Amino acid sequence: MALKNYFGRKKALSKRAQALLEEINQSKSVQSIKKAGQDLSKRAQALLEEINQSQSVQSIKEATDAAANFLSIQTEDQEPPTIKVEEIKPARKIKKPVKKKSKPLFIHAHGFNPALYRSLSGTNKLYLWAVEILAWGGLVIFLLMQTITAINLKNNYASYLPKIVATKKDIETMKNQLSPMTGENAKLELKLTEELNYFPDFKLAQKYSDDITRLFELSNMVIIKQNIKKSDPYVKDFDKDPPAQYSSPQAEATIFGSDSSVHYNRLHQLPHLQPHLQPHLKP
Amino acid sequence: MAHEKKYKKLAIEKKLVLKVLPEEFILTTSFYVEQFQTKTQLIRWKLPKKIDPLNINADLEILSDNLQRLTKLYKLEGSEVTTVLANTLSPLKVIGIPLNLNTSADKKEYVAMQKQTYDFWKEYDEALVDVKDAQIRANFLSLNDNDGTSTMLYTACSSKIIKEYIAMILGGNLYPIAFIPEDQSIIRIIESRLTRIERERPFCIFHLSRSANRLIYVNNEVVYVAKVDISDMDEILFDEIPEDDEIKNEFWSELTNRLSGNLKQAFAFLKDELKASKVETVFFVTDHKKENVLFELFRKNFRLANFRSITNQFMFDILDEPNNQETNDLDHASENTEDKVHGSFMLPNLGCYTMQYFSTPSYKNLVIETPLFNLHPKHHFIINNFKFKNYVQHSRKFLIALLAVVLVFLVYVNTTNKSDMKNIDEFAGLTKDLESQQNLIGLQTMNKKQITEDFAKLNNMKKGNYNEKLFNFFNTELPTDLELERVVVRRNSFMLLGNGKSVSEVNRFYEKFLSNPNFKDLIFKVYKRTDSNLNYFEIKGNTL
Repeated sequence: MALKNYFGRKKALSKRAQALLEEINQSKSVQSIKKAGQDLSKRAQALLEEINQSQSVQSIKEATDAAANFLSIQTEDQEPPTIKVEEIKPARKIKKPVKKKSKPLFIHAHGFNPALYRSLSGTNKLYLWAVEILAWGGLVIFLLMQTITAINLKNNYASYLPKIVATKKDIETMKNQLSPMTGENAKLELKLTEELNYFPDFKLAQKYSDDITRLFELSNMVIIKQNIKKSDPYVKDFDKDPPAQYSSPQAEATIFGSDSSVHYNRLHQLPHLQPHLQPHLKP
Repeated sequence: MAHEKKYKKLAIEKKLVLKVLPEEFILTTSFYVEQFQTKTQLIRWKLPKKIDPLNINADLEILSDNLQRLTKLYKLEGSEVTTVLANTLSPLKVIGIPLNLNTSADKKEYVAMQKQTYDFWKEYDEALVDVKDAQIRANFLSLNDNDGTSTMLYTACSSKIIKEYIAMILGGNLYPIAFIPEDQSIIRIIESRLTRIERERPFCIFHLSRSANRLIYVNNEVVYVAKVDISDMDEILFDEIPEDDEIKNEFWSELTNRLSGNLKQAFAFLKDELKASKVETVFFVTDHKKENVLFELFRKNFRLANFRSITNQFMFDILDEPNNQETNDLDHASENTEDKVHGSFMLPNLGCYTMQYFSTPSYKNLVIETPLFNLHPKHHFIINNFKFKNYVQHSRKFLIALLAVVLVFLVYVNTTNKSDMKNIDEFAGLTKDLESQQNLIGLQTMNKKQITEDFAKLNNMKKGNYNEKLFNFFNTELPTDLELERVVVRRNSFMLLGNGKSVSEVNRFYEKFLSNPNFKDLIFKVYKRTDSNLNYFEIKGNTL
């Protein structure tokens, strides 16, 4: 029983000792010692590399090689004099640090400008900005309107093309119409002139009237209350216009015979006399 | 950029808030995660030495340098900063002034007096006597009907201190645009998280802050601040308070009793001296690191009202230094968990934002509805200047770009129009040609018409249409008793003048005219002359 108790205690003690050992191993101080040892070994290795790569060691190596060559001694096989450092493995695996992205601030800065602060803390800029934006906006609107007008004009210019074609066509049509019209009118004018030639002019009619008057005078006949109105009366001037040379015909040979109706009818039948120039005679 | 866009949608108000504590800078920025839920990004920047926030001038270089490093590290250079001013710098007070601001006359007088703010308020705020000049902000709360005085919510800060803070922030490559009193900020953030009924009732905030421990009483018309006297020695012990059962030993029990006693004293002062109405809840806010321990300590020992903390209602991330990204996952997780408990130190920063509320109280809380006091000397316009700066810049860029596009387009259209103008010239020439052709055609038509008319006339003349009929008529129809004196013919018009022995003969002659269809428009006159017994007549008419 006593033995059993003894072994039980021993077992408990050994467990306790093991736990304590583990505790010691995991304690911060032991960890720090291990870490320090690890750091030291790393440092020692780094120093060794540094020594090996240093110029003095290189020159010693070269000198040794030269001496060996001179003495015909093979030195290649011989190990270079290095310092052996026992590598100490870490007692416990250290968790590798995990890369973690830092969260960025959602405020996006644009860089510091002291002049900007001086400007913005100087005066209230809102009115100035409002005017500026209005001015820019106004300018944009003005140019936009100009552009719209120009575009409309451009469209308008484009619309002239069919108009030009139509006008050209119209002109052609008119020219086609005009040439026959001109020809027709010329023909008509010619015809009119020809027609007019059938009618004596006023002076000629007046001459006939004067002749008739003279014939009346020569035959001692008097026209009572005759008054022919005309717009531009031709007054016979005996000083300028010499009297017509009429030979005094025989009474029976003239138109003014004893039968008055005969010479009226003859007068009436004169083709060249215009009706309104015909003297009014009582039948 | 993607994260920025995402946050932009969530952030109603983009703000960087700075709080200067004796040992560190606390720089926060908050955004909405979802409705009524904000998330705060937080930078805690340890200072190399302990500074006095009341007198930063002594350590201005260190502070500026550290702030500059902070802004450079987190790429915050050129950001606008709102600074929370400690209670000791700009205490929030309620002051009565002998003016009835409900009347327009007094209001005008008050506005006129505000032109010399310092001189006006010096009479009512004793603290102003110690400073040469101060930034003063006040807002009308209520009218005392008994004496006609107006109760004003008031805060002031020495202009010198504000200038020092501006210098420090500018030195840190940031733009200082607002300075908010800490008390107002805390009141607003606490009140925003209360239920409707809680908002309608008075409440207290216990702010445990180094050298500024105080109890803030808030109701709908007034704010009282009672100092909680905690000795400097006890304050030092706050950081040493154990978290385990050790706190139950004699030493710490004594401290606990002392602290809760101090708080009770302040609470009694509010109730007895200031006649504040009963308060049901005291909210706990602190700058100290062991917030959870301190909260538990006070909650257990202070029984005069409910002792509450609202820090669990806010989410926040403490940002790592961008260059120091290699951290252990486990360590980071534990830090975050811990920080989620200790978050009330950043509540003053959150109070600087525009609030959204869960509920609408039945009556106005004038203290809460008072706009945030900005103690920046250019507070009238500096925020708007910075707010609209980007809009103006973007608008200007957009308008200039638009202008350039329009200008280019206009030049292009005008250039092409010049070539198109040939069309117009050609059209104008063609139109002239067309007109001349039309004129020619018109002329020819007229000629033709004239010729046709002439032909008609000639034909008429040939036929003797005009006068032949007249002559034939009076040759055949003139009675023997009548004598024609004169016949006037002009084209188709005629006039006959004559005489006769009897009027009846004249009439008969006229009737014959009338009955003849070849004449029209006949006018007939018969008259006698003094020199003769004959009847004279005159017949006028036209020949058809």
